[in-house]
Amino acid sequence: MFHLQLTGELEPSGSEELREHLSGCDTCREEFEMTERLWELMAASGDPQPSGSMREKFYSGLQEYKSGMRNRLTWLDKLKDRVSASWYLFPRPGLALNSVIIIAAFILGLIVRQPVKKTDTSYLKQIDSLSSQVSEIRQMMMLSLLDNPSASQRIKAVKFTDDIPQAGKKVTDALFTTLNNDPDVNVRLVTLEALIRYASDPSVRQGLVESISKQDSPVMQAAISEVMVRLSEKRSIPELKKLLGKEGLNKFVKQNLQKNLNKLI
Amino acid sequence: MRKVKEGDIDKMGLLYERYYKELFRYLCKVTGKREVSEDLVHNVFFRMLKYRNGFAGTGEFRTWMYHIARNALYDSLKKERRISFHESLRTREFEERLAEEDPAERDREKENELKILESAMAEMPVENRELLVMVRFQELKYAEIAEILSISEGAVKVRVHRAVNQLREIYLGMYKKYKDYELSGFQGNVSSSAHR
Repeated sequence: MFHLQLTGELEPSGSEELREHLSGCDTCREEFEMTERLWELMAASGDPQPSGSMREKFYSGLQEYKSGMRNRLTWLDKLKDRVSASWYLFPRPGLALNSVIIIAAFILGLIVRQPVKKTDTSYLKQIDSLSSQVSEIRQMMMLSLLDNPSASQRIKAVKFTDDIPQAGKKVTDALFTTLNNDPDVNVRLVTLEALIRYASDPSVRQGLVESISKQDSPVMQAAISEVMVRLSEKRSIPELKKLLGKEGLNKFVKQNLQKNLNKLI
Repeated sequence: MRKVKEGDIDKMGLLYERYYKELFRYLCKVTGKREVSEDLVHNVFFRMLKYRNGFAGTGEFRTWMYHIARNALYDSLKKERRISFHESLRTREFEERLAEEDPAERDREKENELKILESAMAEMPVENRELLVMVRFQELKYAEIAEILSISEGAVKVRVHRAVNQLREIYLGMYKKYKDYELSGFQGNVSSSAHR
């Protein structure tokens, strides 16, 4: 334990003992002297000094560290300020939580809604095309059924127009043909009702006015004059007057026509 | 350090002024590399800043600093894997001194002995070299070393004893080689034979 002697950590009594032992033991003395020599050499081996740039580097690093810390503090402070400033909005944590959930749900809804909307429109498009196809089929069925010899089948055909909101010229033409020529008065009455639905079309109104003179049945004459009043169709006045002057006109129809004419005029 | 811990970062400058040279000497003597040691000193002080809350405040600051320095040192050594003296630090300094001195007054024997010592130190395992640096260059007390290494004081004494014996053996082996070369008429630079 020579190093204890060399570092001065040996007790004075131990130091004395060592000296006594070394004086009598050549091997140990030799070892001790060698160790002592190494100890001296180590002391002589110099004290390395760092370069000046090391200090500069440290101080610039310290400044950076401090400014980094300040930035972090101010950022935290800003956040704290904002939270405390808006705290009156959330007097209770439960309310704040609810608001957060509602906002989150709203945002989620906005996100989720987008793709659904897309499929929705494509779905609607599909429905539109399907319903237009159905409408075409109905029109075709109606047209073919109108030629049916059975009056009830023809009424059924006219009733198909209930599901055709906007009829093409083909349909209205067929309806007018039925209205003016069908032998059955019930079919003609149903047809008249069906045509009222398309009265917003000027050509339909014109057709109805022209149809007045073509009606022989008193029921039809009375019904069509009623329709003219309902549509307030002034253009029908000459036709109705013409009908009024017709010979052999039913007495009730005549009275009815007179009354309706007065309403129109 | 307590003030640094409380947020007075400027106080780290005071600690730096007090300890940077000591720390540099320790790291430089263990690694034998000047630039690496400078980087390590920098690293140690910023580690201390980063982990300032880890300083309990009860023990010695110096002990805590050595703890962090050793961690930084061994991390760096692990990266290099092989612990070797790349830069012959002492040799360079010694050569600088030689240039200033009158060649006639030069103690050629001591010069060679110092070179052998340097080589012998480099030859030792890093743990033993570190112990000798702590005892001889840093002049740390055994009790302080025990605290730094987290071992008993008795264990420190035993390890230092072994390290000294090892250094002596390596030194004597190298010295003998050098003397053999000298006797055989080889007067070249001893470092070429002593260095591995």
